[in-house]
Amino acid sequence: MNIRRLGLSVVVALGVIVAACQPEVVEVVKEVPVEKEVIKVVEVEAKQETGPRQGGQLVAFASNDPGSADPAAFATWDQGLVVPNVVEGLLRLSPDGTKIDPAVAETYSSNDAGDVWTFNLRSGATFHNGDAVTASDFKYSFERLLSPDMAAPKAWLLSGVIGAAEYQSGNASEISGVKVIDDQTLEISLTEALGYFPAIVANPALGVVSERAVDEFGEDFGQNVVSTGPFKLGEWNINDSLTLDANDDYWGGRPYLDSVKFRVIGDENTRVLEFDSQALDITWVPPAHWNRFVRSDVFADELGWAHTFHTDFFVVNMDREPFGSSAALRTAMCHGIDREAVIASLQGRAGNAQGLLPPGLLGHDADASICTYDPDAAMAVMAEGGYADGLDGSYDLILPNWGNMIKIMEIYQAQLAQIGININIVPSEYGPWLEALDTGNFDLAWNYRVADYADPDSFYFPMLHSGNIDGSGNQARYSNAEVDNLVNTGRSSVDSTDRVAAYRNIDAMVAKDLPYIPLTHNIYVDVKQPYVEGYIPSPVDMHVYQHVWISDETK
Amino acid sequence: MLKLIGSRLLVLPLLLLLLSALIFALLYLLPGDPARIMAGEYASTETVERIRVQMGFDRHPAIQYLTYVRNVIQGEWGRSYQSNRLVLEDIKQVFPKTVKVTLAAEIMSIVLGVSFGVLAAVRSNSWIDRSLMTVSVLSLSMPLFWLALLLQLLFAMRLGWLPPSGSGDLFSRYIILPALTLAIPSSGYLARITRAAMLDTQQADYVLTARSKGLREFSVITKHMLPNAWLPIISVIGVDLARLLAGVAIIEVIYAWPGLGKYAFDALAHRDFPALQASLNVLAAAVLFVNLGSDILYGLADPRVRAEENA
Repeated sequence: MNIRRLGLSVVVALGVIVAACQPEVVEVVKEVPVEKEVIKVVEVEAKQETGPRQGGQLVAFASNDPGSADPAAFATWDQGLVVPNVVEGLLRLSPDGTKIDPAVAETYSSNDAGDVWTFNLRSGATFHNGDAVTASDFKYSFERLLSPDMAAPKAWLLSGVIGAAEYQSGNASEISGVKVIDDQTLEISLTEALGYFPAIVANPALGVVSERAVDEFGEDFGQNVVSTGPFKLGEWNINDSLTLDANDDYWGGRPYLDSVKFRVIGDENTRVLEFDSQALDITWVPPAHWNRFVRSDVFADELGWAHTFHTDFFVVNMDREPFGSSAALRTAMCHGIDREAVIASLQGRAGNAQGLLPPGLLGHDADASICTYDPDAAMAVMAEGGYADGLDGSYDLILPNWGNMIKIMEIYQAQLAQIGININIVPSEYGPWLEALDTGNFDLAWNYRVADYADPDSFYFPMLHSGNIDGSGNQARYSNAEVDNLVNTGRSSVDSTDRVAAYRNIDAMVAKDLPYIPLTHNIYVDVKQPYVEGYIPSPVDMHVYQHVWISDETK
Repeated sequence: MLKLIGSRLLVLPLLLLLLSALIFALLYLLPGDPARIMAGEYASTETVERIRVQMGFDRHPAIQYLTYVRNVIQGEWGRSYQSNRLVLEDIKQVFPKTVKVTLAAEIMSIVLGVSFGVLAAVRSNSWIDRSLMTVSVLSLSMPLFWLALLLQLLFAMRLGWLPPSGSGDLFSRYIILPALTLAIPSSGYLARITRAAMLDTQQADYVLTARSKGLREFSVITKHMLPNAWLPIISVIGVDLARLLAGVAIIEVIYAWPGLGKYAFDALAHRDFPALQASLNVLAAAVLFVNLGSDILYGLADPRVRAEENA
């Protein structure tokens, strides 16, 4: 015990030393921006006269080596940086995430029922190797994604297509629902109507790849991807850097940049040092450097705020006493936590979640206030529900072993203790945590969800539909026939007014039942050099550099 | 001497086998189902089971291990789960980077540590000795990540002499900061060992004889004290080099140095078992070879070791 205390005090003492040294050190760095202000003024004038400059290299970062740029291997954050710039499919998400843009498909339409979708490919789209892109290339690419040997992480995106399951299990020689009408026309038939199918098609995992190149490179295709994106793979030094070169023949016109170089820098502080020495053009702003950038005359205007399609929440196991059976306890929890306190601890880089949908997605209700912070009201609800003296005992709240999340849970824990609900924070390895959630072996849990496709269905269907209990996303084990119907209406309808109406109804029922207690939405904030123009940080962490240019002639 | 090297070389494969078995067992116990990881998101149980059989994860761990050993010997190190690249090719790219930075660090550490140690011993109990020993304790107690940060701020930001991170060849500017960061604590330790070893020889008969012969102090130190103080220093260098190899991961992450440490770190984060297993085995083998090397050096430096072997 004594030794442990001693160890702790040493750690605390070191922390004090580090903290004491920090301001001085940061002061030193402050010298850099002053010079750049001059440069910025010059650039603004130059830009107005000449417009976007052609040429130059943008240097961005990856935190780990992306490993593979193959859409069939697409799964990680770092791959999300590279794949959407190299690989392109029928449609793509607009850079700000608000709409679905045409890509290789110039136009598309569905039948009235919404279960057959026709895509008309543009002429003039070519692969990086010069071959023309045809509808059969898409059929090939989809079959490759679903093929049992690939075990592609995003293969499930095609699960609504007729014949996908048979093909994936090896019982069919083709996906019967994907039909090549002619070179420029592709028709996809679905097992049920999906109004948001274009949002799924816009996922880079459904990008087109060249069969000839796949045959040529075989197992090494991931490092030699040939697709149709605005950039093509260039020099790749493992764990060091990956360069993407402009695709001169891109159907949408050659990008302004000659190349984008992703330097693999795992340490967030090192990235800021590289940014300060102008060896990096864009970086995420780590908490320790927040004030410096926000207060900087030069960089305050260069911050990019992306409201990501992300919500984190408490999951309540609806099958377990006492939280699952007492709406009063869940309501009290919802009103008993001060989200703004947590947002302040995150330096304002989060939004107050008053529903499951993050802002930016269809049907998000910006005026909702289902869980305002009100400890008195929370205790009143507790008293009505028979817990006037608080809840006896303490209950485990499970989460993955992530240091920053544990700290935030401690804030919530203290707030809940105020209203008489005692929780134990129980961190564990990611795998066992997920298994407990999927099998219902927990009382309370923290979890988060990021939209797999830019549509509210990406939240409501997996989280709320009773068919998705046991491993498919409904971790609260919430079962409500009326909600199931509304979710089905929302997903099958192609009319957005009908969809929003259905989602508002779902919101009302979720606010009453609270199987999930919404907490916050993430905001991703990065900073760019003043000479980087046209950059839009992505709400799905997939920044595209097609329309970005660099105004500094020396870069 | 040859006999010593020969017997060591004979034991080496056995040790390697033992270590690789240990590494296999550790990875086997690591949470996370490899078949589940390979199957992708929302994969059906059917898919997971098919992959389990396909990859042989359903077989007895001992069989899996023996298959792995056979494949490794045949040069088939497998493909990374994450990138599908050949692990052996990856290792060929990243391991030399780690060797370079470790060797550069060790050389810096020897130059700094031994010269400061000798200086402290020669001027023992003077203010030079005391300040050198204080600095060495400081250098030993600084956390590596913090030291790295300070050096980056000083040399990259304040002075602008060196790039804050990145990689290049053995003789590039990029290697200086990571190597120096590794070298500083090592040299602190080495300085203390050197000082102690030198002081031990201070009162030895051969030193007294040399002094009474009227030799100049410089010759006494370089020809009589230092050669005899080398033995403990060499054994410490061997241990130190092994420690550097194993502890290089954090430095590689901070300085974005694309070596084996960073590679293994990422493999662990992604539960990329083939990559992780190969990295750990290569690191273990490297440590074994370093130990062998320091044993041989020890033998060369100490005539008694050679004599015993020949007797």
